[in-house]
Amino acid sequence: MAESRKPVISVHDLAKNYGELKVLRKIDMDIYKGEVVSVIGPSGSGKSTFLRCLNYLEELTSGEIDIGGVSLKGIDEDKHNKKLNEKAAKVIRKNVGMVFQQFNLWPHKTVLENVMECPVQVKKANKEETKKKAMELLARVGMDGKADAYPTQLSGGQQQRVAIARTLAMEPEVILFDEPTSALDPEFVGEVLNVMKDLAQAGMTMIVVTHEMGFAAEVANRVCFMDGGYVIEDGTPEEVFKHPKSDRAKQFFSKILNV
Amino acid sequence: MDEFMHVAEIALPLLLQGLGTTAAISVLSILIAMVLGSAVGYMCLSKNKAVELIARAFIKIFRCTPFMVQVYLAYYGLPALGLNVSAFSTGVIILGMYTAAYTAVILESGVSAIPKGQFEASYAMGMSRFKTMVRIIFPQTLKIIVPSLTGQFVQTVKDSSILSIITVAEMTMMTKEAIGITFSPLIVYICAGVLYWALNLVIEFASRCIEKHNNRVAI
Ligand SMILES: Nc1ncnc2c1ncn2[C@@H]1O[C@H](COP(=O)(O)OP(=O)(O)OP(=O)(O)O)[C@@H](O)[C@H]1O
Ligand SMILES: [Mg+2]
Repeated sequence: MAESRKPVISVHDLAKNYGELKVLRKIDMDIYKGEVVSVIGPSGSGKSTFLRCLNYLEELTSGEIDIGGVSLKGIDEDKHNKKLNEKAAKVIRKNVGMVFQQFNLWPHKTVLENVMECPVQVKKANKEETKKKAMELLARVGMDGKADAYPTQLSGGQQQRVAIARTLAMEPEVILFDEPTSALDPEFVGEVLNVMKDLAQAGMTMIVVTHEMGFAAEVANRVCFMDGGYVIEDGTPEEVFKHPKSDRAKQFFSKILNV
Repeated sequence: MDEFMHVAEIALPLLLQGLGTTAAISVLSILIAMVLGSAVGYMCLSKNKAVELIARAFIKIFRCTPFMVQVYLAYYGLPALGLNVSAFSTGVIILGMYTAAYTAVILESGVSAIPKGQFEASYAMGMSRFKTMVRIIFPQTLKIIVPSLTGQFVQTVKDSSILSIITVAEMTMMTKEAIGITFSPLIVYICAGVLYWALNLVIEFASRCIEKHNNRVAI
């Protein structure tokens, strides 16, 4: 990694509590342009919470996240940060897209309308141009044939590919994926991973929470292992999978990889 | 049977005149209820506690006092405030507000049935809270609440009969007038009942069309 470059996302001392429960304890992480970071770890280790802090779907308890020149700050340090965070989130969400485990397409809108909604409504982009771009994006994820279908008429894999196109339509700098294939029947996992692989090859910066170790090993150029609210391994797939430093990671991989 | 036809012949023109007024009151009140009810429902979901409190107070006031009391209060209260509005307008306004309170509650319960992911996807895509509500959440909510809204609006038609107490010449008032002429309360009330029923069949028919349309475009 060229350390001289400025990170796209910079996380300092991030902590997140739900009441008494300390979900994230102290996260420090810089993410650079074009990196594909796989976040792995046992259930409940805080992976989703970490992602959701990055685009402010969750309030930060303490610490700081810098994205594209604006920052989110923990509200424990100063209650007023909440108002500032809400403002910052508007900017951050323009740069950061998110793809959800449950797709969360809007069921009352067609596939094309799902993709066009935010460019037109949020960016106030021209409708005709947006439509053309949306069709290109749908073609990119192999869904241009279903532009007029409603989400409920699609398989899970198709819905997730549309969800990716919807996110791309806002031209984000970074895309967060929270277990994008976990809700899919096994037969549909491959088609979604392939779309993500194409994105990675096209240079998109991605943070992917996943249980797909194959994807992490093959596509990611960085793997972070989380446990108990800490990132306890952070390195190339080779380093983390083959030579984990911590016993926790070793245990986790022996369980997962031997099944 | 002859007597029935005879009475009906005299009563029907009066009743139909009343029916027209009842229909007008109902339609206008329902329109007010939809606009005001959506606004109050939206305020209930606000993060601003003061805004939410105002909305909740509005709902409480209209749901926890008898409609007849509200009607009298409006009838005597509005002029006392220097607002000289007709009995008809007073009736429409108060029935509209009363129905709006129930509409707001139905809307809010509908919104709580929408999965959290729908909000999160909208926020993550950069939508404001307002845009999210208006473009993503409410349209989905409407589909869920069509049956309960229909029930509420049928109730509005029936409740409009109470406006006869403030001299609005709607169907119940005209029924009484027809009885005064014909001295046949049973027959006139049968006619009036059938006409109320017919009016509500229209609402239920419209509702069924909307539901059918909704089912066609899936959800
Ligand atoms: N809104 C919430 N309120 C209270 N506790 C929460 C909330 N969201 C998450 N948690 C708790 O925080 C912890 C971390 O949750 P998180 O969803 O981040 O884990 P995860 O690593 O994504 O797990 P999984 O692999 O199961 O998705 C869990 O113990 C969870 O129960
Ligand atoms: Mg999770």
